[in-house]
Amino acid sequence: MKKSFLKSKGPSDQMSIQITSMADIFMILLVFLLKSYGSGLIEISTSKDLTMPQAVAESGSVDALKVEISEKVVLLEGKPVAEVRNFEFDGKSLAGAFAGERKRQQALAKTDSGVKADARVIMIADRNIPYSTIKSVLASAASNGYTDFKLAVVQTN
Amino acid sequence: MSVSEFQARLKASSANGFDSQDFDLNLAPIIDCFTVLIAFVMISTAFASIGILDAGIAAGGDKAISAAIPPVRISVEVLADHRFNLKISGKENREITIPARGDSWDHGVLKIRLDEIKNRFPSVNGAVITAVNSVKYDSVIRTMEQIRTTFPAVMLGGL
Repeated sequence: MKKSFLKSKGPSDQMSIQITSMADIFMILLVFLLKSYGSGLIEISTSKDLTMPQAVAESGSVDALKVEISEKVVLLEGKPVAEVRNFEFDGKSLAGAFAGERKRQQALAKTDSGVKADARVIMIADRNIPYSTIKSVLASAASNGYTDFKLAVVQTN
Repeated sequence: MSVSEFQARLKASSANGFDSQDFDLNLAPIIDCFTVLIAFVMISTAFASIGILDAGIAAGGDKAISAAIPPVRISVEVLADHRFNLKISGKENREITIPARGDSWDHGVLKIRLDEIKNRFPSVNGAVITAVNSVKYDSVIRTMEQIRTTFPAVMLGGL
């Protein structure tokens, strides 16, 4: 049986890298990243010291009043409204903030018939916060007309 | 530019070999763009996605909601000593205590008990969850997640 061996060419001075396959890989990577970039429908930015609990939950587009409870502060739409010390806070200032926000929503609803006062609240709380603190915040929200609670969690599904 | 001028230019370019179909596409700038784009998207993408658990409240609110009254009301209380207290009231009245499993709550037994109730009263879709003050939010969420697999409408109670 004859075997033919081709003479290998010597090293050429002009070497060109084949980058077509690299472009293909980059294209696939970019498509994958852009897909996962658009899948986060709920925009929530939390403070550094806040760790949200994990749970199997549905993701969907929700736009509502955001209340953040960390071990140090209670934030309403990103603005600090009450300082937390030993998981206790000043209920009056939080109730005042909720009332102010509600009044603003109602005033908007009066001027524009297309806008309705929304009863939804997204609660973003640290996993180590005791239920008593959560209860106080929710009770304060409920007394000001915010009765539809959405609890934000990190999805595990 | 006149037609004759254009034809003359075309001839000249053919003579120089510019009309050859054998050419290499310069992909280097495209690769550069892709690298920058991928780096930017990777930095700004949040890989941990946020989910939402619906939780109305079992009390409070401006208006009363008119709905069909369920045959039984189910309430799960998360206790500090890792026990659950399951209360059923309505057509059937009883209280079940689910003991702790080591240093944690026994979600497996809770699920079994809730499934038993669901089989007896299939029309019931909701349950109320309450917890004692010292129980951490994470534990409440875990219990809520467990209840939701049997009763999708879980409300927060004790406010």
